[in-house]
Amino acid sequence: MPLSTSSEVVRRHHPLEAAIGDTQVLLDVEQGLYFGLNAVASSIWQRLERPIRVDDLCRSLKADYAGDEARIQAEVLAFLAQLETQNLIDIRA
Amino acid sequence: MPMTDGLLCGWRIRSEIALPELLSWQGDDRPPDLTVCLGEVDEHLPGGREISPFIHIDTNGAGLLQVPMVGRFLVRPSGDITVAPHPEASETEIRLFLLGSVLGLVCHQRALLPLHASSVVIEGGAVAFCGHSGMGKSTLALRFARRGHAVVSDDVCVLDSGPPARVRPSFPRLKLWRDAIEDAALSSEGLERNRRGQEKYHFLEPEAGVRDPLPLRAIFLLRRPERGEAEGIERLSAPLDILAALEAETFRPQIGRALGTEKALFQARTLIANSVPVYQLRRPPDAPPERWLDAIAAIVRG
Repeated sequence: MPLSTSSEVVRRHHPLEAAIGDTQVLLDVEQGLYFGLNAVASSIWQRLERPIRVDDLCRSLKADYAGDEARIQAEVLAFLAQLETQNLIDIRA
Repeated sequence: MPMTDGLLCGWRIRSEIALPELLSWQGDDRPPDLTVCLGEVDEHLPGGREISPFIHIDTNGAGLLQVPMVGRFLVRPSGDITVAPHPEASETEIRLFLLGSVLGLVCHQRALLPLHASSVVIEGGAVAFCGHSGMGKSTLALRFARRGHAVVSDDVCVLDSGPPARVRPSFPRLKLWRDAIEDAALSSEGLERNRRGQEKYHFLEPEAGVRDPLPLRAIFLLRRPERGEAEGIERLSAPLDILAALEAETFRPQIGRALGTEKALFQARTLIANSVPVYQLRRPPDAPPERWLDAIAAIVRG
């Protein structure tokens, strides 16, 4: 499924999570893989617990982080693409 | 003849096989947490799933360990362990697996994290040495023992569920290559052989054992320096590096996955990553351990 601002995204599994120092660590038990999220990545991840449209996600982040909309959108799309590559999220139309 | 119950990682163990490595049970009059009986063990575990060629786990959480030329061990989640020794196996060999692989299996059944580590007491806490076989874990522990440090575990180091991160002491035995014993100016005569033909011995220091859980002070990962890398001690800082190292040092993590205890193991590892310094100690495995002892003790003291 191609990723766009109108896509709906949601976590695929519910990995185990823990904070280690400033890093949010995920363990995807099914894949047996660890992931480390920095503060911004972690705040995106937290918003993916329930299905959310990418543009709603960007709006919600814009409320919390300074930055222009186009940049936030580009970074969010890049990060979501990474999460999809790692089988951590599903992308719906 | 009734034998005294032993103490193993906080558990009361009653065994038909003598376990001279263990401290005697001095706790309350609870029924044994673990019992070891001699008996028949079928080579098939009904409904068992293969974890490795030698380990099967069934849907009830029972484990079957089969060691060629040594015997079969059926480990039930209740803590009842049946051992069917191979006719030619020595008691030493049976005990080696009972207090090694079987102990690791028992930990997984109880959702406790078993690390491949020898550990000793430094500054009132346990300091664990992890590394591949032959990297010198037991040798380092022996050198510390000769300096008067109590031995907490050898081979399988059991983490309590915590927090805080604590070690449940196993027993004061070390598996050592003969050279290591001779280097430490001890005689290997009179010590029991480990596995047939292996020049590895048990070294018992019963008076040097620890009964109660100890805080885990530090973990040292023993590594061979890569080409061009200097010898030395370096603290790991990246959380994922620490978790990957702890996963690599976990005794057969596939058993935990088969038993569905990943969450408890993950919590135990993240507790360590958050509260216990993990160091890499790079040195050739045959390097004299002496020069590292002071460095290790100084780091632990802080």
